[in-house]
Amino acid sequence: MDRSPTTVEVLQLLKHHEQLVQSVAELEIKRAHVELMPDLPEAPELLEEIEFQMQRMKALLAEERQNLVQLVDLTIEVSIRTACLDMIEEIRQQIHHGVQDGAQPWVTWWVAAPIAYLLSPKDREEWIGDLQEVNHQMTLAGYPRWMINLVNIGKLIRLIVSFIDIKIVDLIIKLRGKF
Amino acid sequence: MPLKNPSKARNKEPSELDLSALEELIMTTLLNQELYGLQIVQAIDEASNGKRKLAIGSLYPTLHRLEKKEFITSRWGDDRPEERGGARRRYYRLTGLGRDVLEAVQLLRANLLSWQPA
Repeated sequence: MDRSPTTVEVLQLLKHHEQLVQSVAELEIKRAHVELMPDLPEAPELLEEIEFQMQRMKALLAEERQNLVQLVDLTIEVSIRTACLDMIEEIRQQIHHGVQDGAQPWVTWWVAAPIAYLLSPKDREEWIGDLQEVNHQMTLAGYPRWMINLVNIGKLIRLIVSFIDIKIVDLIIKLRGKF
Repeated sequence: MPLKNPSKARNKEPSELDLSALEELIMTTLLNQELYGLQIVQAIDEASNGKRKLAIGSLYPTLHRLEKKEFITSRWGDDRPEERGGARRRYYRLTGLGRDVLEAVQLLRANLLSWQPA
């Protein structure tokens, strides 16, 4: 069985197991009644028949118990196997996309971070933080690293333009204040 | 961040203050909530069903302008998330003046919609 047993299957097996336990209990009561009537002519045959039925039931019960244990083991095994497969798939995806655990694309470290030193410490923290968060979201979405790097280059160009834009705005505001 | 000169800012006439389309959009996004840069981008993207994409590059200068005009104010978040390399988030919200200006602009739009030639 290469799939996880369903809850219905486990419950059905448990129900059947309970029925067998009930039948054995009923046979034991029956045997006790017959044993209380030793003068009954057919008592020996009845006791023999009850004993035979009980042995059969006990054998079935042992078999059912074994099945139940196997089913529970299988459930646990399949759950663990599924978790392991998920983990392997995640690692495979990371290798495929060239993403190591928690690593940032090279553009962020080698281009964006040094350029960000042009900015004020506050702007640098905000901009680089946002860029890294976007990288993280793209990595989680399964984008290949080359694409993340490409997007980073685009964003970086926009950020440089933004930096110049901000400087011009500041200059205009300063000039307005003077005149 | 407190306003540098709240009394001076309050003295500005909202009707005299012009807003660009992008400034108005960002201010509307910040009307009843405090958001950081990426959340503003996400809010506009989702509210427009992906029809209006705001680039980070055009977001920062606009936020900077709005802050200079004292229409919005910002504060640093306390947490340092790992996915941001430990950088804090900068949260923006509308100032009282910003709210007045936005309301004035939206009133102007509403008046224009109902305006009829005499």
